[in-house]
Amino acid sequence: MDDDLSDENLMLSYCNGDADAFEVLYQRHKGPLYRFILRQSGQEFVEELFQDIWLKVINSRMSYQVKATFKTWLYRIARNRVIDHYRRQNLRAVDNNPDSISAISGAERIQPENQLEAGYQHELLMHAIAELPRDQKEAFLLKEEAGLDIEQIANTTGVSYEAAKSRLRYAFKKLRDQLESMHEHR
Amino acid sequence: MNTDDEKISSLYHEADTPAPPKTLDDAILAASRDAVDKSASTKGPFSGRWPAAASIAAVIVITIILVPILKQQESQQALTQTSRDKSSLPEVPYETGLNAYRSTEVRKKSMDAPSPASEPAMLLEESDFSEYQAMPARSSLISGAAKSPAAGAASALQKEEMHVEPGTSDMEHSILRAADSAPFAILTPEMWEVKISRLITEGKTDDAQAEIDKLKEHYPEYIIDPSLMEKLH
Repeated sequence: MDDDLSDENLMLSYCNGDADAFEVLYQRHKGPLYRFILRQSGQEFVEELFQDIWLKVINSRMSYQVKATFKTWLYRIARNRVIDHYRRQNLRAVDNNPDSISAISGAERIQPENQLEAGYQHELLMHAIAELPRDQKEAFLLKEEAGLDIEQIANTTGVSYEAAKSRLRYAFKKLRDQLESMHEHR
Repeated sequence: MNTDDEKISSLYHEADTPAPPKTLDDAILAASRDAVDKSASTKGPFSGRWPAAASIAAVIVITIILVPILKQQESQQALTQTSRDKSSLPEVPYETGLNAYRSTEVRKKSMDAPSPASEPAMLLEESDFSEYQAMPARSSLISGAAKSPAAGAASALQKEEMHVEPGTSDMEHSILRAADSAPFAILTPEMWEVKISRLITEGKTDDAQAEIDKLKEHYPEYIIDPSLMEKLH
């Protein structure tokens, strides 16, 4: 399988019965998508949601049309599934509540005993991301994990370009403020 | 994006990157292959994009086949209608009808009908087979035991329908009416025999002989009732 093929061509190949094309596609996107879910849902649900999303991709293959980039299509499915998960679980987004840090996986919690200097900044960042409002966190993860630009984020989340841009700007500002605040309290 | 934002981005990507466990990878990839295999196994010769193409091809083929047939049928029906119009005769009382009818030009033409070149014969061969089949059925009432297979097969039915006792004059009248209303005025041998018998009864032996000659000419394979020949001689 030609790894240089675009996501869209790979998906079309898979629609035509080329299972290898799907594997290439999966290998390209599995990590970012996994982390996109993990940062929002926590370790407890990530695997279930991750699998569901890919099964939706598989089952939707016959209706796939190249109207947008594959990445936008994939993350729209992922976002809908995460929102559906929150609705079903009757959960508020863990990020809106500063006390909801417990919802973050144990591996990602700040563990002072393990705070080596090399990883300290990263730990602080993960903590700050977890505390972002859900919309802002989603915009941040779509940019950093999925690699979407502002327009694609707007398309994926169904908001205007300005709204997406605003969410992203606020997300970065809050992360900066959080990191500075944490440094000061260190 | 300013420098601070870039720092945050780079810091984020420096972090460890959790990934799905291998078991999850395997499960998803297996599901993707299963889905492809399933759809491949359910694909028949007319699945996928074939149904539309096959439907269009079928419509074209049916159209190509049916349209000429329908046109041919229409033209034949029109031709049949024309021939009916030509062969339709004025209704006359039976008592005077037969002789007058026989003397008309139409009747003469009809009697020559079996000639391959004549119009009624051609029409008979081409189109109105059902009406052609109806004629021996009417005539079969005369012969009782059918001399021709078609006439014999229909004789019983015709007897029931017409409620006529064999050998009565009513029966003869019915047969002659049937002969008169024959679509192309083509007499079956049985009808012809009735006519001949009537001519003999009326003393018109010359006419009867002429009819016998015509009968022999048109139906050379037909064996004329010997009693009829005895009556004539």
